[in-house]
Amino acid sequence: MKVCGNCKLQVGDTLQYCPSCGSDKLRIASNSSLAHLTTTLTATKQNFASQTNNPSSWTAQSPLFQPNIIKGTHPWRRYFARMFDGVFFSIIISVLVTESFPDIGKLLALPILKSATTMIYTVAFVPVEAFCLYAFGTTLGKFLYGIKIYNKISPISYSIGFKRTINVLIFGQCAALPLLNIGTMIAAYSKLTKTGLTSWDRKYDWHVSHSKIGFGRWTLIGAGWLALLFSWYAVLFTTFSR
Amino acid sequence: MMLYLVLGFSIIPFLIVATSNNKNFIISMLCGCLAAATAIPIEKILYQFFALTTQNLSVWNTAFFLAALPEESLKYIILISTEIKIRNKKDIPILFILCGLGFSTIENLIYISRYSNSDVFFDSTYLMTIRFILPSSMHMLCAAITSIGLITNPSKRYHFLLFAVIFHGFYDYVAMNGNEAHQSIILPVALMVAFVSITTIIKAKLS
Repeated sequence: MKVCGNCKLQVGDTLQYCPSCGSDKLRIASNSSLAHLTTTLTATKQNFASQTNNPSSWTAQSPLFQPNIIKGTHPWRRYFARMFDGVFFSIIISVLVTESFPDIGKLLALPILKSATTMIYTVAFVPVEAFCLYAFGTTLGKFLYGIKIYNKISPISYSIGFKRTINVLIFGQCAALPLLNIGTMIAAYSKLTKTGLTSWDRKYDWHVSHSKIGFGRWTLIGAGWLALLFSWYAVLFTTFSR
Repeated sequence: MMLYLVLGFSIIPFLIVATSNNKNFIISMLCGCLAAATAIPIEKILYQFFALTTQNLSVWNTAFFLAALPEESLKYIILISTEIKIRNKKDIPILFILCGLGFSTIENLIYISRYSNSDVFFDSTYLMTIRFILPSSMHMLCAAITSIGLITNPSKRYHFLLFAVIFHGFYDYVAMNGNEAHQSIILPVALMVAFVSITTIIKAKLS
Protein backbone atom coordinates (compact mmCIF):
# COMPACT_ATOMS: atom_id res chain seq x y z
CA MET A 1 0.00 0.00 0.00
CA LYS A 2 1.25 3.48 -0.92
CA VAL A 3 0.58 6.72 0.95
CA CYS A 4 0.53 10.18 -0.64
CA GLY A 5 3.32 12.34 0.74
CA ASN A 6 1.17 15.44 0.33
CA CYS A 7 -2.33 14.60 1.65
CA LYS A 8 -1.53 11.29 3.43
CA LEU A 9 -4.24 9.43 1.52
CA GLN A 10 -3.82 5.70 1.02
CA VAL A 11 -3.61 4.94 -2.69
CA GLY A 12 -3.37 1.81 -4.79
CA ASP A 13 0.05 0.31 -5.54
CA THR A 14 -0.38 0.72 -9.30
CA LEU A 15 -1.17 4.45 -9.30
CA GLN A 16 1.51 6.99 -10.17
CA TYR A 17 -0.46 10.03 -8.94
CA CYS A 18 -2.60 10.64 -5.90
CA PRO A 19 -6.25 10.58 -7.02
CA SER A 20 -7.12 13.12 -4.34
CA CYS A 21 -4.52 15.87 -4.67
CA GLY A 22 -2.69 14.92 -7.87
CA SER A 23 0.72 14.78 -6.18
CA ASP A 24 3.28 12.33 -7.56
CA LYS A 25 5.05 12.03 -4.19
CA LEU A 26 3.79 8.56 -3.34
CA ARG A 27 5.70 6.38 -0.93
CA ILE A 28 5.29 2.93 0.48
CA ALA A 29 3.41 3.11 3.75
CA SER A 30 5.33 1.95 6.78
CA ASN A 31 3.63 0.61 9.90
CA SER A 32 4.32 3.86 11.75
CA SER A 33 2.80 6.07 9.02
CA LEU A 34 -0.27 3.85 8.86
CA ALA A 35 -0.62 4.08 12.62
CA HIS A 36 -0.32 7.87 12.36
CA LEU A 37 -2.94 7.88 9.62
CA THR A 38 -5.32 5.82 11.77
CA THR A 39 -4.83 8.18 14.73
CA THR A 40 -5.47 11.23 12.52
CA LEU A 41 -8.59 9.68 11.01
CA THR A 42 -9.96 8.77 14.44
CA ALA A 43 -9.38 12.31 15.70
CA THR A 44 -10.99 13.90 12.66
CA LYS A 45 -13.88 11.44 12.83
CA GLN A 46 -14.59 12.50 16.42
CA ASN A 47 -14.25 16.14 15.40
CA PHE A 48 -16.66 15.61 12.51
CA ALA A 49 -19.14 13.79 14.73
CA SER A 50 -19.10 16.54 17.35
CA GLN A 51 -19.62 19.22 14.69
CA THR A 52 -22.49 17.42 12.98
CA ASN A 53 -24.28 17.14 16.31
CA ASN A 54 -24.35 20.91 16.44
CA PRO A 55 -27.29 21.93 14.24
CA SER A 56 -26.16 25.51 13.86
CA SER A 57 -22.83 24.60 12.28
CA TRP A 58 -23.62 24.37 8.60
CA THR A 59 -19.99 24.85 7.71
CA ALA A 60 -18.34 23.11 4.81
CA GLN A 61 -16.62 19.92 5.84
CA SER A 62 -13.67 18.63 3.92
CA PRO A 63 -14.69 15.24 2.55
CA LEU A 64 -11.35 13.89 3.69
CA PHE A 65 -12.61 14.22 7.24
CA GLN A 66 -15.47 11.89 6.54
CA PRO A 67 -14.67 8.39 7.69
CA ASN A 68 -16.16 6.45 4.75
CA ILE A 69 -14.10 7.95 1.92
CA ILE A 70 -12.61 5.32 -0.34
CA LYS A 71 -9.69 5.59 -2.73
CA GLY A 72 -9.74 5.35 -6.51
CA THR A 73 -10.91 7.44 -9.45
CA HIS A 74 -14.29 5.74 -10.13
CA PRO A 75 -14.91 7.06 -13.67
CA TRP A 76 -18.09 5.05 -14.17
CA ARG A 77 -19.58 6.29 -10.95
CA ARG A 78 -18.89 9.85 -12.05
CA TYR A 79 -20.38 9.13 -15.47
CA PHE A 80 -23.64 7.77 -14.03
CA ALA A 81 -23.83 10.63 -11.51
CA ARG A 82 -23.59 13.14 -14.36
CA MET A 83 -26.10 11.15 -16.38
CA PHE A 84 -28.51 11.22 -13.44
CA ASP A 85 -28.09 14.98 -13.14
CA GLY A 86 -28.65 15.42 -16.87
CA VAL A 87 -31.81 13.33 -16.97
CA PHE A 88 -33.17 14.93 -13.78
CA PHE A 89 -32.55 18.43 -15.09
CA SER A 90 -34.06 17.57 -18.50
CA ILE A 91 -37.25 16.37 -16.83
CA ILE A 92 -37.47 19.44 -14.62
CA ILE A 93 -36.85 21.89 -17.44
CA SER A 94 -39.20 20.02 -19.80
CA VAL A 95 -42.06 20.34 -17.31
CA LEU A 96 -41.28 23.99 -16.57
CA VAL A 97 -41.14 24.89 -20.27
CA THR A 98 -44.31 22.89 -21.02
CA GLU A 99 -46.12 24.55 -18.13
CA SER A 100 -45.00 28.07 -18.98
CA PHE A 101 -44.87 27.93 -22.77
CA PRO A 102 -46.82 24.87 -23.97
CA ASP A 103 -46.09 25.43 -27.68
CA ILE A 104 -42.33 25.58 -27.18
CA GLY A 105 -42.50 22.56 -24.87
CA LYS A 106 -44.31 20.54 -27.49
CA LEU A 107 -41.82 21.60 -30.15
CA LEU A 108 -38.80 20.62 -28.05
CA ALA A 109 -40.34 17.23 -27.34
CA LEU A 110 -40.52 16.30 -31.02
CA PRO A 111 -38.35 13.24 -31.80
CA ILE A 112 -36.78 14.99 -34.81
CA LEU A 113 -35.37 17.69 -32.52
CA LYS A 114 -34.12 15.22 -29.91
CA SER A 115 -30.39 15.95 -30.38
CA ALA A 116 -30.89 19.71 -30.47
CA THR A 117 -33.05 19.57 -27.34
CA THR A 118 -30.42 17.49 -25.54
CA MET A 119 -27.77 20.07 -26.45
CA ILE A 120 -29.94 22.97 -25.29
CA TYR A 121 -30.68 21.26 -21.97
CA THR A 122 -27.01 20.31 -21.47
CA VAL A 123 -25.90 23.92 -21.98
CA ALA A 124 -28.75 25.23 -19.82
CA PHE A 125 -27.61 22.95 -17.01
CA VAL A 126 -24.21 24.71 -16.78
CA PRO A 127 -25.24 27.66 -14.53
CA VAL A 128 -27.42 25.39 -12.40
CA GLU A 129 -24.59 22.92 -11.81
CA ALA A 130 -22.20 25.77 -11.05
CA PHE A 131 -24.62 27.09 -8.43
CA CYS A 132 -25.05 23.61 -6.92
CA LEU A 133 -21.28 23.17 -6.65
CA TYR A 134 -20.98 26.63 -5.09
CA ALA A 135 -23.86 26.28 -2.62
CA PHE A 136 -23.88 22.55 -1.81
CA GLY A 137 -20.44 21.34 -2.95
CA THR A 138 -22.22 18.66 -4.95
CA THR A 139 -25.20 18.00 -7.20
CA LEU A 140 -28.10 15.59 -6.71
CA GLY A 141 -26.52 12.87 -8.86
CA LYS A 142 -23.13 13.29 -7.23
CA PHE A 143 -24.77 13.24 -3.80
CA LEU A 144 -26.58 10.00 -4.59
CA TYR A 145 -23.39 8.37 -5.81
CA GLY A 146 -21.40 9.68 -2.83
CA ILE A 147 -19.26 12.10 -4.82
CA LYS A 148 -18.09 15.39 -3.39
CA ILE A 149 -16.01 18.07 -5.09
CA TYR A 150 -13.83 20.41 -3.10
CA ASN A 151 -10.80 22.59 -3.13
CA LYS A 152 -8.32 22.24 -0.29
CA ILE A 153 -7.04 25.78 -0.33
CA SER A 154 -10.02 28.04 -0.96
CA PRO A 155 -13.80 27.57 -0.90
CA ILE A 156 -15.45 27.03 -4.25
CA SER A 157 -16.65 30.25 -5.83
CA TYR A 158 -19.46 30.45 -8.36
CA SER A 159 -17.14 31.64 -11.14
CA ILE A 160 -14.71 28.77 -10.61
CA GLY A 161 -17.63 26.35 -10.49
CA PHE A 162 -18.93 27.82 -13.72
CA LYS A 163 -15.51 27.51 -15.39
CA ARG A 164 -15.20 23.89 -14.30
CA THR A 165 -18.66 23.04 -15.61
CA ILE A 166 -17.86 24.74 -18.93
CA ASN A 167 -14.65 22.69 -19.14
CA VAL A 168 -16.59 19.50 -18.45
CA LEU A 169 -19.11 20.50 -21.10
CA ILE A 170 -16.44 21.12 -23.74
CA PHE A 171 -13.69 18.61 -22.93
CA GLY A 172 -15.82 15.91 -21.32
CA GLN A 173 -19.13 16.05 -23.17
CA CYS A 174 -18.22 17.92 -26.36
CA ALA A 175 -21.34 20.06 -25.80
CA ALA A 176 -23.49 16.89 -26.13
CA LEU A 177 -22.79 16.71 -29.86
CA PRO A 178 -23.80 13.23 -31.03
CA LEU A 179 -20.90 10.81 -31.72
CA LEU A 180 -18.26 13.46 -31.04
CA ASN A 181 -19.06 13.34 -27.34
CA ILE A 182 -18.10 9.65 -27.26
CA GLY A 183 -14.57 10.62 -28.32
CA THR A 184 -14.16 13.27 -25.61
CA MET A 185 -15.61 10.94 -22.99
CA ILE A 186 -13.13 8.20 -23.92
CA ALA A 187 -10.28 10.70 -23.77
CA ALA A 188 -11.42 11.98 -20.37
CA TYR A 189 -11.80 8.39 -19.10
CA SER A 190 -8.31 7.54 -20.26
CA LYS A 191 -6.79 10.64 -18.64
CA LEU A 192 -8.63 10.04 -15.39
CA THR A 193 -7.62 6.41 -15.03
CA LYS A 194 -3.98 7.08 -15.98
CA THR A 195 -3.26 10.20 -13.96
CA GLY A 196 -5.97 10.13 -11.31
CA LEU A 197 -7.31 13.55 -12.32
CA THR A 198 -9.25 14.92 -15.24
CA SER A 199 -7.86 17.90 -17.13
CA TRP A 200 -10.46 20.29 -15.70
CA ASP A 201 -9.85 19.21 -12.11
CA ARG A 202 -6.10 19.55 -12.55
CA LYS A 203 -6.53 22.99 -14.12
CA TYR A 204 -8.48 24.46 -11.18
CA ASP A 205 -6.93 22.30 -8.44
CA TRP A 206 -10.21 20.57 -7.67
CA HIS A 207 -10.42 17.25 -5.92
CA VAL A 208 -13.10 14.61 -6.07
CA SER A 209 -13.79 12.25 -3.18
CA HIS A 210 -15.92 9.12 -3.26
CA SER A 211 -17.78 7.63 -0.33
CA LYS A 212 -18.31 3.94 0.16
CA ILE A 213 -21.60 2.76 -1.36
CA GLY A 214 -23.46 0.55 1.07
CA PHE A 215 -26.82 -1.19 0.80
CA GLY A 216 -28.76 1.94 1.77
CA ARG A 217 -27.10 4.08 -0.86
CA TRP A 218 -27.59 1.42 -3.57
CA THR A 219 -31.28 1.33 -2.64
CA LEU A 220 -31.42 5.12 -2.86
CA ILE A 221 -29.72 5.07 -6.28
CA GLY A 222 -32.13 2.41 -7.55
CA ALA A 223 -35.14 4.33 -6.23
CA GLY A 224 -33.79 7.51 -7.80
CA TRP A 225 -33.44 5.94 -11.25
CA LEU A 226 -36.89 4.33 -11.00
CA ALA A 227 -38.41 7.70 -10.07
CA LEU A 228 -36.65 9.32 -13.03
CA LEU A 229 -37.90 6.61 -15.38
CA PHE A 230 -41.49 7.05 -14.22
CA SER A 231 -41.18 10.84 -14.35
CA TRP A 232 -39.87 10.69 -17.92
CA TYR A 233 -42.92 8.74 -19.06
CA ALA A 234 -45.20 11.08 -17.12
CA VAL A 235 -43.58 14.09 -18.81
CA LEU A 236 -43.94 12.58 -22.29
CA PHE A 237 -47.56 11.68 -21.53
CA THR A 238 -48.30 15.20 -20.27
CA THR A 239 -46.57 16.92 -23.20
CA PHE A 240 -48.30 14.99 -25.94
CA SER A 241 -51.71 14.69 -24.31
CA ARG A 242 -52.24 18.49 -24.34
CA MET B 1 -45.19 43.23 -24.33
CA MET B 2 -47.30 43.92 -21.27
CA LEU B 3 -46.57 40.44 -20.00
CA TYR B 4 -42.84 41.16 -20.02
CA LEU B 5 -43.44 44.32 -18.00
CA VAL B 6 -45.33 42.29 -15.43
CA LEU B 7 -42.63 39.62 -15.44
CA GLY B 8 -40.04 42.33 -14.86
CA PHE B 9 -42.06 43.67 -11.94
CA SER B 10 -42.20 40.23 -10.34
CA ILE B 11 -38.43 39.94 -10.01
CA ILE B 12 -37.94 43.29 -8.25
CA PRO B 13 -37.60 41.72 -4.75
CA PHE B 14 -35.10 39.28 -6.19
CA LEU B 15 -33.00 42.11 -7.62
CA ILE B 16 -33.10 44.04 -4.32
CA VAL B 17 -31.64 41.06 -2.47
CA ALA B 18 -29.16 40.36 -5.27
CA THR B 19 -27.68 43.83 -4.85
CA SER B 20 -27.37 43.49 -1.08
CA ASN B 21 -23.86 41.98 -1.37
CA ASN B 22 -24.71 39.44 1.31
CA LYS B 23 -23.72 36.05 -0.04
CA ASN B 24 -25.91 34.11 2.35
CA PHE B 25 -28.99 36.09 1.42
CA ILE B 26 -28.39 35.57 -2.29
CA ILE B 27 -27.75 31.85 -1.82
CA SER B 28 -30.94 31.48 0.25
CA MET B 29 -33.01 33.24 -2.35
CA LEU B 30 -31.51 31.17 -5.16
CA CYS B 31 -32.17 28.04 -3.10
CA GLY B 32 -35.82 29.08 -2.98
CA CYS B 33 -35.79 29.47 -6.77
CA LEU B 34 -34.21 26.03 -7.12
CA ALA B 35 -36.79 24.56 -4.74
CA ALA B 36 -39.63 26.05 -6.80
CA ALA B 37 -38.11 24.88 -10.08
CA THR B 38 -37.92 21.36 -8.63
CA ALA B 39 -41.18 21.33 -6.67
CA ILE B 40 -43.47 22.40 -9.51
CA PRO B 41 -42.46 19.56 -11.88
CA ILE B 42 -42.56 17.08 -8.99
CA GLU B 43 -46.11 18.19 -8.20
CA LYS B 44 -47.11 17.77 -11.84
CA ILE B 45 -45.58 14.31 -12.02
CA LEU B 46 -47.18 13.26 -8.74
CA TYR B 47 -50.50 14.61 -9.95
CA GLN B 48 -50.10 12.59 -13.14
CA PHE B 49 -49.31 9.50 -11.07
CA PHE B 50 -52.33 9.92 -8.81
CA ALA B 51 -54.57 10.78 -11.74
CA LEU B 52 -53.57 7.49 -13.38
CA THR B 53 -53.98 5.39 -10.26
CA THR B 54 -56.83 7.13 -8.44
CA GLN B 55 -60.01 8.21 -10.14
CA ASN B 56 -61.14 10.70 -7.52
CA LEU B 57 -58.37 12.94 -6.30
CA SER B 58 -59.90 15.14 -3.63
CA VAL B 59 -59.07 18.82 -3.15
CA TRP B 60 -57.89 17.99 0.35
CA ASN B 61 -55.33 15.45 -0.93
CA THR B 62 -54.20 17.78 -3.69
CA ALA B 63 -53.75 20.70 -1.30
CA PHE B 64 -51.90 18.83 1.43
CA PHE B 65 -50.03 16.00 -0.28
CA LEU B 66 -49.45 17.23 -3.81
CA ALA B 67 -48.81 20.92 -3.12
CA ALA B 68 -47.93 21.71 0.48
CA LEU B 69 -45.84 18.69 1.42
CA PRO B 70 -43.39 18.68 -1.55
CA GLU B 71 -43.04 22.47 -1.56
CA GLU B 72 -42.30 22.91 2.14
CA SER B 73 -40.07 19.83 2.32
CA LEU B 74 -38.02 20.92 -0.69
CA LYS B 75 -37.62 24.46 0.64
CA TYR B 76 -36.32 23.05 3.91
CA ILE B 77 -34.12 20.30 2.44
CA ILE B 78 -32.49 22.50 -0.18
CA LEU B 79 -31.73 25.32 2.23
CA ILE B 80 -30.43 23.03 4.95
CA SER B 81 -28.16 21.26 2.43
CA THR B 82 -26.22 24.41 1.63
CA GLU B 83 -22.81 25.06 3.06
CA ILE B 84 -23.89 28.42 4.46
CA LYS B 85 -21.98 29.37 7.58
CA ILE B 86 -24.38 30.80 10.14
CA ARG B 87 -22.66 33.19 12.52
CA ASN B 88 -25.74 34.60 14.19
CA LYS B 89 -28.89 32.76 15.21
CA LYS B 90 -30.93 35.78 14.14
CA ASP B 91 -29.96 35.15 10.52
CA ILE B 92 -31.83 31.84 10.37
CA PRO B 93 -35.39 33.25 10.03
CA ILE B 94 -34.17 35.82 7.49
CA LEU B 95 -32.55 33.12 5.37
CA PHE B 96 -35.69 31.00 5.45
CA ILE B 97 -37.94 33.95 4.61
CA LEU B 98 -35.71 34.84 1.66
CA CYS B 99 -35.89 31.22 0.54
CA GLY B 100 -39.69 31.56 0.59
CA LEU B 101 -39.44 34.78 -1.40
CA GLY B 102 -37.24 33.13 -4.03
CA PHE B 103 -39.71 30.25 -4.21
CA SER B 104 -42.70 32.52 -4.73
CA THR B 105 -40.85 34.61 -7.34
CA ILE B 106 -40.33 31.59 -9.59
CA GLU B 107 -43.85 30.32 -8.91
CA ASN B 108 -45.27 33.73 -9.82
CA LEU B 109 -43.30 33.81 -13.06
CA ILE B 110 -44.62 30.40 -14.05
CA TYR B 111 -48.21 31.24 -13.12
CA ILE B 112 -48.12 34.52 -15.00
CA SER B 113 -46.65 33.05 -18.16
CA ARG B 114 -49.18 30.22 -18.01
CA TYR B 115 -52.40 32.02 -17.17
CA SER B 116 -52.13 35.63 -18.14
CA ASN B 117 -53.25 37.01 -21.45
CA SER B 118 -50.44 39.10 -22.90
CA ASP B 119 -52.89 41.35 -24.75
CA VAL B 120 -54.75 42.42 -21.68
CA PHE B 121 -52.59 44.37 -19.29
CA PHE B 122 -55.22 44.52 -16.56
CA ASP B 123 -55.52 40.73 -16.27
CA SER B 124 -51.81 40.11 -15.90
CA THR B 125 -51.35 43.02 -13.51
CA TYR B 126 -54.30 41.87 -11.40
CA LEU B 127 -53.00 38.31 -11.34
CA MET B 128 -49.52 39.53 -10.45
CA THR B 129 -50.78 41.75 -7.65
CA ILE B 130 -52.96 39.03 -6.15
CA ARG B 131 -50.20 36.46 -6.41
CA PHE B 132 -47.61 38.80 -5.00
CA ILE B 133 -49.70 39.70 -1.98
CA LEU B 134 -51.26 36.39 -0.94
CA PRO B 135 -49.20 33.34 -1.98
CA SER B 136 -45.87 35.15 -1.65
CA SER B 137 -46.73 36.10 1.92
CA MET B 138 -47.89 32.57 2.60
CA HIS B 139 -44.60 31.08 1.30
CA MET B 140 -42.53 33.46 3.41
CA LEU B 141 -44.65 32.77 6.51
CA CYS B 142 -44.39 29.00 6.03
CA ALA B 143 -40.62 29.30 5.69
CA ALA B 144 -40.57 31.39 8.87
CA ILE B 145 -42.57 28.71 10.72
CA THR B 146 -39.99 26.11 9.65
CA SER B 147 -37.16 28.33 10.89
CA ILE B 148 -38.70 28.55 14.39
CA GLY B 149 -37.85 24.89 14.87
CA LEU B 150 -34.19 25.56 14.18
CA ILE B 151 -33.90 28.56 16.47
CA THR B 152 -35.76 27.03 19.39
CA ASN B 153 -35.31 23.29 19.57
CA PRO B 154 -33.42 21.70 16.65
CA SER B 155 -34.43 18.21 17.79
CA LYS B 156 -38.08 19.16 17.14
CA ARG B 157 -37.49 20.96 13.84
CA TYR B 158 -39.63 18.48 11.91
CA HIS B 159 -42.63 19.37 14.09
CA PHE B 160 -42.39 22.94 12.86
CA LEU B 161 -41.96 21.71 9.30
CA LEU B 162 -45.22 19.82 9.81
CA PHE B 163 -46.90 23.00 11.08
CA ALA B 164 -45.72 24.80 7.96
CA VAL B 165 -47.12 22.00 5.78
CA ILE B 166 -50.47 22.16 7.60
CA PHE B 167 -50.70 25.93 7.23
CA HIS B 168 -49.70 25.75 3.55
CA GLY B 169 -52.17 22.92 2.97
CA PHE B 170 -54.95 24.86 4.66
CA TYR B 171 -54.21 27.89 2.47
CA ASP B 172 -54.18 25.80 -0.71
CA TYR B 173 -57.36 23.99 0.33
CA VAL B 174 -59.24 27.27 0.74
CA ALA B 175 -57.72 28.67 -2.46
CA MET B 176 -58.62 25.56 -4.48
CA ASN B 177 -62.14 25.22 -3.15
CA GLY B 178 -63.29 27.97 -5.47
CA ASN B 179 -65.53 29.83 -3.05
CA GLU B 180 -64.62 33.47 -3.64
CA ALA B 181 -66.29 34.69 -0.45
CA HIS B 182 -64.20 32.29 1.62
CA GLN B 183 -61.05 33.14 -0.26
CA SER B 184 -61.42 36.88 0.11
CA ILE B 185 -62.11 36.70 3.84
CA ILE B 186 -60.41 33.61 5.25
CA LEU B 187 -57.10 33.85 3.41
CA PRO B 188 -56.16 37.45 4.33
CA VAL B 189 -57.32 36.93 7.93
CA ALA B 190 -55.38 33.67 8.23
CA LEU B 191 -52.27 35.32 6.82
CA MET B 192 -52.57 38.29 9.18
CA VAL B 193 -53.03 36.04 12.22
CA ALA B 194 -50.10 33.88 11.15
CA PHE B 195 -47.92 36.93 10.56
CA VAL B 196 -48.61 38.37 14.02
CA SER B 197 -48.15 35.00 15.76
CA ILE B 198 -44.96 34.09 13.94
CA THR B 199 -43.26 37.46 14.42
CA THR B 200 -44.17 37.39 18.12
CA ILE B 201 -42.78 33.88 18.57
CA ILE B 202 -39.58 34.64 16.65
CA LYS B 203 -39.00 37.87 18.58
CA ALA B 204 -39.56 36.06 21.88
CA LYS B 205 -37.23 33.20 20.98
CA LEU B 206 -34.46 35.44 19.72
CA SER B 207 -34.52 37.92 22.58
